[in-house]
Amino acid sequence: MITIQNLHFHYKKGRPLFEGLNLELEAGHVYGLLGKNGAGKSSLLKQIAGLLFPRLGTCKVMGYESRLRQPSFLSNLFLVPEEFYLPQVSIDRYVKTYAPFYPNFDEKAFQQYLDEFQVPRNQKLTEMSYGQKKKVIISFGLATNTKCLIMDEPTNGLDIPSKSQFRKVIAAAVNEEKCIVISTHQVRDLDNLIDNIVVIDNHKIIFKQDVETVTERLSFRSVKQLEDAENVVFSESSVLGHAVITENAGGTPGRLDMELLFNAVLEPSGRINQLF
Amino acid sequence: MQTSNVFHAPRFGAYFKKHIVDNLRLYLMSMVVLVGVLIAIGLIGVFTTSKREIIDANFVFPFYGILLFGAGLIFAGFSFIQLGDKSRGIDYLLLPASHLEKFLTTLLITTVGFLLVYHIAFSAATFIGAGIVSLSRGKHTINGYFPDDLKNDMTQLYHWWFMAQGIILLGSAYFPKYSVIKTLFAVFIIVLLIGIVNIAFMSILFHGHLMHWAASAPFFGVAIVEHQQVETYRSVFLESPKWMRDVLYFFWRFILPPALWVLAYFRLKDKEI
Repeated sequence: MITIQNLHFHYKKGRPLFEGLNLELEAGHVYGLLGKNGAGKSSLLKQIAGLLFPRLGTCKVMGYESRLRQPSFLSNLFLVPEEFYLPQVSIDRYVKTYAPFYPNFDEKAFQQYLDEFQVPRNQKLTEMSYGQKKKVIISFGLATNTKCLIMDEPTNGLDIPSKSQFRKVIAAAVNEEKCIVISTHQVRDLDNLIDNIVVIDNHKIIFKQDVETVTERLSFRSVKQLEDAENVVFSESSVLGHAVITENAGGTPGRLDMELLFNAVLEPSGRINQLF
Repeated sequence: MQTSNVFHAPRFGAYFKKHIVDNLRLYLMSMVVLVGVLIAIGLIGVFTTSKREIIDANFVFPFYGILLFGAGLIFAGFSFIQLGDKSRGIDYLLLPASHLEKFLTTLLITTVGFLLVYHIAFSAATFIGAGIVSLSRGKHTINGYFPDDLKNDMTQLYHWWFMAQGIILLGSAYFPKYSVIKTLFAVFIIVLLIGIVNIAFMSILFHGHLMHWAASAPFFGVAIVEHQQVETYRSVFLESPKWMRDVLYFFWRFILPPALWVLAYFRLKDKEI
């Protein structure tokens, strides 16, 4: 679905953002793109959407070179940007003018998503709060039924109940033909939502694994003292003692602590990566 | 059936409609302001000229020309304003229509659309203004005769207008924010550079014979002095060949505006946000 090969990109010469970045994302998955501030998460999503062009290398989505921004490519890709624009019209008018560009737009599904988010259909976009507008654009993006759905920090501006609603609607929208990429620095928002983790750091993809493999090989738990745990791969002090990642000797998948994994992946020793 | 990725009429229609819907309020407000400004300027022009008894084409033409340029170029300067705003720019660039369809929509609206609206507004303003003047003076004050020499001036005006529109449209693609000011500054710099290069070349070619160091017009000619040693010397203006001036004039009128549009289109295609 998304193939990025040898991507080089910089905003200013001498300050590379991506250097030889390679990434392959498949349909039927929800990818969580994680990284520190300034690691290039949004820039990578923009490369995928064709808003930024590779200085070297290629970025292909569904076989299309994204930088060409061809209509047949754009009608199968929807980006929910962190800073988004909605015209000063009613929801109905918005749907009437934008939906014709997306041949698979599902009006019924759009209404269902709005209902799930508890956004009244008859309200004008100008009268809505930032969070409500975000729910509208997320609902619209999902209802377009594009093969590729990209969301940049979608949970920013959503309150706690809305984050739970967000997880619900995304889970309902996943299918075998769709590739969903969600970028966030609030990793806990993606708990139980994504099935693949992609970590970007130091100009490259440094970690890419599916959640099942991670939980089969690693165990996440809390211990009062570090000595209580064996084969500790990574640990962090917490209020209750220590949050640790250990090798999963039994191989039975357990729960995943995304934040802990993220911190472990970014650790300079790179011990986590050696296990994959 | 696979639709064209360059131009597809129904998609172009949908995009055109979307553009109008998004900007309808702005366009209507602009039109009302334009009519108001035209009436106000026209009335000030009539009532501050005590001797003016008849409103004719010669009186109206300067207002028509100045506002055609003023309003038209400001309007063209807003062509790609959305690219100056990250969120609006993303919405614009990622909407599933081709670059050509998006560009054509902007081009049609800033040329055909603007000229249509401007003429409707100008006609409305002229009739309303003339009606007010007629009522205040108690007699009919409009002379509808349109002299032939003005027809030629109108043609020249439109050539200049399309050229200026092309420059501002291209400028808008390069400088989405404050495009008119930035474009005019860029044009000033380019004209200045052409002038400096021309002066340098003329000084080399006609060293010691130039009437004045700046006595030359780029592409048109140069003023030189003959028989400098004699007290009654005379100056001569050497014109560039007529065929060359004709070619340049043709290029200026018919090639430059479309060339500027093409450049603006490619700039849009290459736009990153």
